[in-house]
Amino acid sequence: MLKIENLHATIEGKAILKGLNLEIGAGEIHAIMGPNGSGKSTLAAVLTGRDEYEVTEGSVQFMGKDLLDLEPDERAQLGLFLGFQYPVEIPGVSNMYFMKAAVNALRKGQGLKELDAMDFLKKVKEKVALMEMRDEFLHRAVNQGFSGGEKKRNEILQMAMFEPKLAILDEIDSGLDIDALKVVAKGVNAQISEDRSVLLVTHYQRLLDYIVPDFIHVMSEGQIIKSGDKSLALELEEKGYSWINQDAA
Amino acid sequence: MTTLIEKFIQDAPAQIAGTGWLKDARSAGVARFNEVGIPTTKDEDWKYTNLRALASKQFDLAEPNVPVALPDAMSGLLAENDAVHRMVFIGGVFNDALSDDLGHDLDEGITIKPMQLALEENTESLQQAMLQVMPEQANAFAALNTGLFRDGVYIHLDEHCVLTKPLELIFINSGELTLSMPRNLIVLADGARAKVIERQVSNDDCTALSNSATEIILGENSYLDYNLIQQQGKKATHIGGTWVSQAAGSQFFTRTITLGGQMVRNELKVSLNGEGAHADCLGLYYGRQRQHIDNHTTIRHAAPNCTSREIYKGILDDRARGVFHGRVLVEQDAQLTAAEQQNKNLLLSRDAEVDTKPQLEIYADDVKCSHGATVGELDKKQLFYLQTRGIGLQEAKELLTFAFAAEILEEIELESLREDLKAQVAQQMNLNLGYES
Repeated sequence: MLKIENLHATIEGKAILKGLNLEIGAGEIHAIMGPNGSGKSTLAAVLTGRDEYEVTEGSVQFMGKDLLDLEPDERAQLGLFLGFQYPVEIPGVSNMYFMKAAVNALRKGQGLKELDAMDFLKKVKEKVALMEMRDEFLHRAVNQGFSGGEKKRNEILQMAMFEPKLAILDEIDSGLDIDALKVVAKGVNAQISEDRSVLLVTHYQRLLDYIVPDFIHVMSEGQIIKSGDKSLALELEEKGYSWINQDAA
Repeated sequence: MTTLIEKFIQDAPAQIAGTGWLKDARSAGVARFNEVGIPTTKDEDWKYTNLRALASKQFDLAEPNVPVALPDAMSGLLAENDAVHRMVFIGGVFNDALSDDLGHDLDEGITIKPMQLALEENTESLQQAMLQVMPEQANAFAALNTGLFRDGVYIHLDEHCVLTKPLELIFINSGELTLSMPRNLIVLADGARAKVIERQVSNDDCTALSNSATEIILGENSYLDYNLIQQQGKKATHIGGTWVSQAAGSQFFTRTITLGGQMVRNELKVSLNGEGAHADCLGLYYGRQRQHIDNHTTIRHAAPNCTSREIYKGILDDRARGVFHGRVLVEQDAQLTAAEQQNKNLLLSRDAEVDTKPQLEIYADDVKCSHGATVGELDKKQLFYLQTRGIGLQEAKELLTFAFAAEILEEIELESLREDLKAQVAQQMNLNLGYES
């Protein structure tokens, strides 16, 4: 599904990703962990096409296409979703209208007919219930005045509406108390299927108690320096990131 | 203009030309207009709005009895609507046939009638209120209006009366180089409440000049929601002034939405004269092609403990030009004033332009005031967020542009007006929103 080879990226001339390799198959859950500044969020930004970053070397294949060649909206239409660490507030656009515009843009990109109003409403209400949100959130402006936890729920609500092939969830656990984390995790877990993959980007092991990954990768200095199964997270928790760095050295 | 004024004075029927106080007021208005003349850009208040083209044109007074020509998009405007009391004015003169019969429909203590009729009746309450808020030294157009107005609306609510349905005033202009000068007077006695929609419309061929003047007197603890919707055609000129006096505890909500017109000037002068009054003045202007839209406002805090909020947002595309001149004046006695003023502009084209001049003048020492102006482009982070949701860049831009406008439109209290304007703005932006939220 996703194949990243020798990816190098810079921002304002500064190298952040320095030869990253990663492969994600259909239905797999991967977690990327690493200390601050290791390049985790840069990876998410580069994959979704933020234009401040420049890819200087390497390739990314997604659903059989050269991902780096595509605009952010084309990537989304191929099935790529990013759950933002800091979701943007958009005053003046209701959440409902926004999601409808997005769902229909995605469908159009996939050559599907627009969802009619009734079907859309039914689906969105169902997903709102899943995320334990009030209907009122649909009528408010996108993320405006939402608490940190509400913003994160709104990201997962969108993931549920957009049904991506690969969801990259960037620090989806940051700023959440344990109850909110459980709801977010429940929302993600409810969507895991054979043809939907998830890439969790996180600093803390805590998230992985609730969303259990198949693979864990440790990132440092713009590269993945160690990969393993769930047990790697526990080891990290115990020994800290410095252990990995020493180990790799 | 001079020949026009002479012609008016010659032709006007006696009840309009007036006797006694009205005749004096008219003479003073004409004299003042002749004295100061059409302003030039040397006048600080007109620095960014050049009316030279206007001065050389030969306007003729608008004929009230012409067939109504409305653009297709507004054809629904005159359809039957039970939700409002409607009054229609053509060329600034009341049109009986197109208006609701308000005679039997209004509760006791509520007067709503054409100004012409009110002048004939010449009641004491009219005499007391007229020309109380508009200063003698008002600009040339206000003076001209006083000199030559023929009709308009007179609204008077006795103490604690509530107008249950909104009053919708539709001013239709038409024809070539016609001049219409509606004059409105709204008086709410203590505790009275009303909602008013004023629409200025014309079609794209119309080269009329409408010069309207509205005086508003708000008694203690009264409430007025006043929506001014400017949707004139591409060649029309509109110069309008609204003067408001607020007594203690009164609340004035005004929304000035300018979508049409070649040259538009909206003046708003609010004076908070009694303790604890609140003025809430929001505006949106959306200029395209060569439109010129000038909002010129003064909010004067003359009593303690008053609050005001003024937010004007502008979107300027093509070669359109916007002007915002907002002055908040806090006088020495107006302690504990809280005043907020903002002007935000979005420029969609390289050739669009805005001149913004927010001004705070404070003579009291215990106040909380803020003001600011921005001129910018669309937010890149918001655009990226939308793109990651599959929405193309162009559509994302349109959506955010609409959102910029919607922030003001959402604050329109009357739901049907709000939704109607959102749909119209979306349409003007070529957005296919099917807005349902």
